[in-house]
Amino acid sequence: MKPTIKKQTVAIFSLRGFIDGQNASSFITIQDIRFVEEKKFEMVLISFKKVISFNKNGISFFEKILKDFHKKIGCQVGICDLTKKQYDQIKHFYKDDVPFSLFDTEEHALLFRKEGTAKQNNNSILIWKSDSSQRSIIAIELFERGFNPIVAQTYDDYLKLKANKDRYLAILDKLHLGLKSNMIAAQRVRNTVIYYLKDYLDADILEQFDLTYHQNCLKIGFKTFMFNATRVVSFNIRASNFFFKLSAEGAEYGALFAFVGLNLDKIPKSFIQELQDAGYIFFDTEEEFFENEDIKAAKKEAMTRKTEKKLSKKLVSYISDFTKATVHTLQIMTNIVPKRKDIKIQKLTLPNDAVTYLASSIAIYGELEGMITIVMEKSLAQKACELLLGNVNDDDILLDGLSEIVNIITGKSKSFLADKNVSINITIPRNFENLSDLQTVLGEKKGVQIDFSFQEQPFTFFLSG
Amino acid sequence: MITKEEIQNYLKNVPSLPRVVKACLEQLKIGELNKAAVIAKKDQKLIFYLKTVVNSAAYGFRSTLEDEKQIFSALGSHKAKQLLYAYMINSNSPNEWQFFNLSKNDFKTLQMQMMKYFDAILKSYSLENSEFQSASSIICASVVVADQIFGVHKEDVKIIKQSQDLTLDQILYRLSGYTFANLVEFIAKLWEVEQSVQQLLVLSFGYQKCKGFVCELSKLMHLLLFKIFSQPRFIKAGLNDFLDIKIEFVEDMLDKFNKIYDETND
Repeated sequence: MKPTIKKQTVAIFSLRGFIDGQNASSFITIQDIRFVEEKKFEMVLISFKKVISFNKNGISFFEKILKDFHKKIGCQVGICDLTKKQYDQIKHFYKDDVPFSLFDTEEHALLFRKEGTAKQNNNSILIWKSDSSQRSIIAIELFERGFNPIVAQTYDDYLKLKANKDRYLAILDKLHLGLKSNMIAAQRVRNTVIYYLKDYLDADILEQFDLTYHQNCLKIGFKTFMFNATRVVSFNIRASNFFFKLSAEGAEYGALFAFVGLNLDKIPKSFIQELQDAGYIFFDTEEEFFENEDIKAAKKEAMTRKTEKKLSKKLVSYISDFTKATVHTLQIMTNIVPKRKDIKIQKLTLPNDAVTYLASSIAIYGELEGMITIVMEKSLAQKACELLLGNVNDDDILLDGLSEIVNIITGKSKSFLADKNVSINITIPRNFENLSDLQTVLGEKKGVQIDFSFQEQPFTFFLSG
Repeated sequence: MITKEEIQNYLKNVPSLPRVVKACLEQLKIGELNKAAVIAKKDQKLIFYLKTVVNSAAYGFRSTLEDEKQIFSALGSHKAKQLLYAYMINSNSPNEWQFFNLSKNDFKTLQMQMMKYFDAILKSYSLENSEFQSASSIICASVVVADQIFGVHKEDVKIIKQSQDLTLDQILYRLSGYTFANLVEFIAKLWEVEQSVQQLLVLSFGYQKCKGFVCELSKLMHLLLFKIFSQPRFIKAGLNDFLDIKIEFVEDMLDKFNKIYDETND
């Protein structure tokens, strides 16, 4: 069974029916294991949402697979969508010492992705575990992802706090964290990528920092990067060199780097000086960073960098593969045959600014370099996501659905191009709730704009350099 | 991808009961086993099918049954009806499966297992010789229908499943408004299956809340489907994620189901 891919970085195997030692290996085959290892997912989950019953032998098989994934690709591993009964049953099998994580829902598992999903308005998460060490681990992991963990110290406390359940983004009381990823957590807030550093930083940072993710963020237009170092004890020359390398690479994209909360007394003065020379700015708190006028101005300036990549002839020569993949995917999702209306090389221009549009972009790199952006009316996005998600009104869920569709489009384009011996890679998608953010990222960039009509609803495909 | 119109066209093309099978079923309804046997003799394929099945190890008759009348009287009217429907579905199953990784033989095994275990379920309700026996063969029609509908859309389904864990039943419903329960019900009506069996079949997909013994049977049928779909060969064939499991629907019958299943295996 092929896993479902969520947010390009999480693989979820959804098991169904009765599980035992005899059939477990038929659910996750050797080919599936190879697929996960090749793709190097940051989190691998096994969903028990549709599992009727299971026994110890079946769980032991999955334990081995999950442990191997963790060992080989350093990902987080766990079982999700567990009922209270299933959760207790697994804890009982392992006498409470479960080597992998257990989550009551997939949504709660995804809170522990390397890239946090905390929001500005409500990021409080209530935690209750009778095991105090688990309580602390969960709180720390969430804090590193930009959440505000609220830990109940006693069960009575928990019940009192839980009474105001609307105050929390999530309530975690049926969760066990087992093998964790040692990757540095990241979060994208207000057009800034925040990395959460901790402990003593040395050469290991090369292993713990997801360089591909960082490069993808640069490619899809992020310009400001913050290292939250409030929990950093100190760092050595290897780590310092690593930061130089990042800023040198980022300069090509006009990116800006800052440290927040770094205890400057504990870092050699020469390192600080060199980092400042390399362009790093230092702040005490995240608020200070976001409110700083210089940063705001720098962000704006960085947005209009002079080194815009132009649309290459080579990229344009494969336009039919991209449009074929787009049209086919949208046709499957909406069950509507689209009409192509217009094709032009121009700045992204949308027919009617008054309508609510949603957009998603993805960068491609490898033998071809560029960015694919799709823009559609909210109502068409709802229609397109209906097959995947059912009826959706929540904008966040809709945007997630849209990124899944962009992923499908680029995945399909990738396979069309592979047939022509052209190899490309794709970044994670970036969603836009309003077009001004998108237009800021695209700037004056010209690209191939193809307008379609899905039963009179406009859809725009934009391929830029 | 699939549309409502496509499904409506598909349903228009579902074959009606052949003359011989229809006449045979009519005789069985009034308990005329001999007359049914005489009619069945006119369809050599049907006779061959019945002989192969009843003389298989699963039936355990001491001596080989050759004569049609012998076969029908050994089976009894309800069991014979169950096999006539199984024959109908088997003869409408594809030679080359398009969506599922199944062989003709795998499908036959699936049918045989469904019939064997559902008979055991019926026995636990003292209904071993009842019209409900046909339900276990007719429900297998959903597998054939799914293959016929989704066979040409295999690649599209792969694309959808890559980003969302949807069953074929969910995809079918979101695209056309039909579920496999609707399609099986349509076939059951077309094939003149008793009303009570139609009700059992529809409930077995777990979409409706229900109570009473037919409801209990439908829950056990739902569990049986997934017990069989959880066998390695059927997981590999892709049957495991074709229908949606309704755990809340069957929870209260799980212990009873496990007991019957284990006893049947002993």
